[in-house]
Amino acid sequence: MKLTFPHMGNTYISLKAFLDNLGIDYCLPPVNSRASLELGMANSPESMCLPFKKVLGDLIQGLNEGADTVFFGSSRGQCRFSQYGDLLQGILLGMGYKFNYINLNFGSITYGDVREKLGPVLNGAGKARVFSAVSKAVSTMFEVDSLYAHARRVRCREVCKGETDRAMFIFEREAKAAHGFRQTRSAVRRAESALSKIRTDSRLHPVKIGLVGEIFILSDPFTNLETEKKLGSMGAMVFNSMSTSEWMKKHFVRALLPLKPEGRAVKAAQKYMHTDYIGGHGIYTIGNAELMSHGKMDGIIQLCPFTCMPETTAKSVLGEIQYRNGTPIMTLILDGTTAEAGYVTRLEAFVDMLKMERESQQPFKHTPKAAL
Amino acid sequence: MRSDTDVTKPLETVTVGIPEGLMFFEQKTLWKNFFERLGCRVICSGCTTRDILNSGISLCCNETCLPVKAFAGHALSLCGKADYIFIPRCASVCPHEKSCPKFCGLPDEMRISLKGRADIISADIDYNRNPQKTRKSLASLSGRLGIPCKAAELVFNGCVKPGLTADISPNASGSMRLGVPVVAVLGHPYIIFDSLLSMGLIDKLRNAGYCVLTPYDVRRSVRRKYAGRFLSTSFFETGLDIVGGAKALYGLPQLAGMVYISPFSCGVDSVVMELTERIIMRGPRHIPFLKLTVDEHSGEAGFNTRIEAFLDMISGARRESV
Repeated sequence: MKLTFPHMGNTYISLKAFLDNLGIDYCLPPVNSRASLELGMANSPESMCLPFKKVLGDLIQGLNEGADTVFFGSSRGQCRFSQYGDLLQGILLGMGYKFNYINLNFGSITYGDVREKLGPVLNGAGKARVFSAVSKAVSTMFEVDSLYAHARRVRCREVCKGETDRAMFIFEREAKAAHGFRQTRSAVRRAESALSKIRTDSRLHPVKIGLVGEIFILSDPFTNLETEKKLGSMGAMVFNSMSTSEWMKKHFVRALLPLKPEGRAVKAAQKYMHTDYIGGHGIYTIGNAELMSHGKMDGIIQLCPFTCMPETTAKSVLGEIQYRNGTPIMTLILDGTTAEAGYVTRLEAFVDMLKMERESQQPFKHTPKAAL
Repeated sequence: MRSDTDVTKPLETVTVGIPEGLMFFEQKTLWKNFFERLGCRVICSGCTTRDILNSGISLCCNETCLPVKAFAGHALSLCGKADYIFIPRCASVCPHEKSCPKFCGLPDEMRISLKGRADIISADIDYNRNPQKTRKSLASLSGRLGIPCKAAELVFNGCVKPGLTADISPNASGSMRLGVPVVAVLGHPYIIFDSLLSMGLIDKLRNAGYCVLTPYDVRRSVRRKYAGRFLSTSFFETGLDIVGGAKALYGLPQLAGMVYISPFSCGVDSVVMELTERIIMRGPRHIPFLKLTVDEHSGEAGFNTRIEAFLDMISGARRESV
């Protein structure tokens, strides 16, 4: 039995270590591969959203490379994501692939469910071993995400341009070659020390840009055309409001708590949306944009896939947030065919605007009116 | 405009506006009854006109879909005429079914788009995730209107709740006649029954001598029975309607073709259209399937050409088979 799974940003690093640890055979679809996306786009419904196309492409690549089992995590919810599981299976079967399909529903996950669906894959590994592997995988995921956050802080201040990117490139190469948690973690540690050795200009006060939007796009550097890297090399400090570790916190760590506190973002969004759910992560986009515009961010960028329903609703509110708080908000929509040059130009213009704004020291503010 | 503190105003003079778009194609009479029984005056915005659509387009953000833009236009046309505009937050009308996610944020999106031109009242309907929400939202609605909460709940349970899952026939599609070929028109009710948004598709097909049937001519229970497979998980309500309706209509011997009309960038349709097409193409009969996409651009010539070509193909195929 050979497993394959779709990519979502850097999750493959911890997932790979997890599978190695349990001795499960797998086939990793090529990381950041344009060919995957092209395959996915060719075989998806035309107006389907970008994450679906990327996921489908990854699975096709995995199956082509000899996998016979497909693992996918779906969810309940109001947006299209809840239908991904069925549609992926239908399209892959229609293309003539034969495979076992494991579709875990993260919206209503139970131990029995995991046992039943993953049982055949686990090679009879005991409960204790699986639990220890899961907890190690989760902590690795957090470590990897904090490494990327560290890189975002260093990149905008580095003296020699490109050093951070080189360190991260080496890390990604090492992580791909690493086997099991020990090697993966030592790769993370080496990258951390490489990052801390990079010479930075501590007197620099880079403009701060917050990223909000759809979780897949925000956490997947390939589909968002490496916005974080691009902004960082333009000298902007980037804060990403969504990552896989955030998602883990929201769905699993929070589920274990006896009292479920409403997130800060949801609370902040109540000013504009009198509800706690508009599908997907739309409400977090609004809430995080509101929090960030009060939190000394110079600018906010919303990233979302073309035709994303929750983000479209959120976008109509972002204009109001910009109007009330005065923090510039730009929306960038990605659809897989986005020409990179035009995209870079828009990012550059945005960063330049924020820098000029910083230099002139005149707050970029409309006179706020009681609009509602 | 009424302010929040102005609750002493006698109810008879309170006017509630209902923008005739989106969910009101199915729920208009229900909510009209609801407010009239509570003693309010109700005014509706009428059919979509070019002016309404254009004003809606200028209010909304670009990426929003055509029906939402039309809805904003309807809401704007009620500003100044009504004390309140009623927009429900209609997330799901029964368990295991859900509406388009845009409905969850619709009242807020409209409040922001209208920029304080109107007072918007809302009621939450979410029988899939959180049925208790309805009571709470009715309490705040009755508070705004200055009526006892009990009355609102009673009237809601009496005339709105059962109607949410009832059959609708907003545009009785005419009885079938012997020998007249049938074309099935699939899509959201707020597209296919809105003659401006659908560019008069149903009328055009009728004028060409075809009998037009929609999924909404099939009884809801039958649609759900045919849709079957999706009942285990929660699926889009319109998805169940369209897939189930298409499957039921597929069995009609006089069915000559199917037309799926969808607004540009509709997320629900991107899934539902794919599923419907798969089901129709997999079946034993060969049924021509036309996919049409509409947006706010009003170039009707290209649209007509495609319909004409489709109908020519159908009649050619029929002549061959006879």
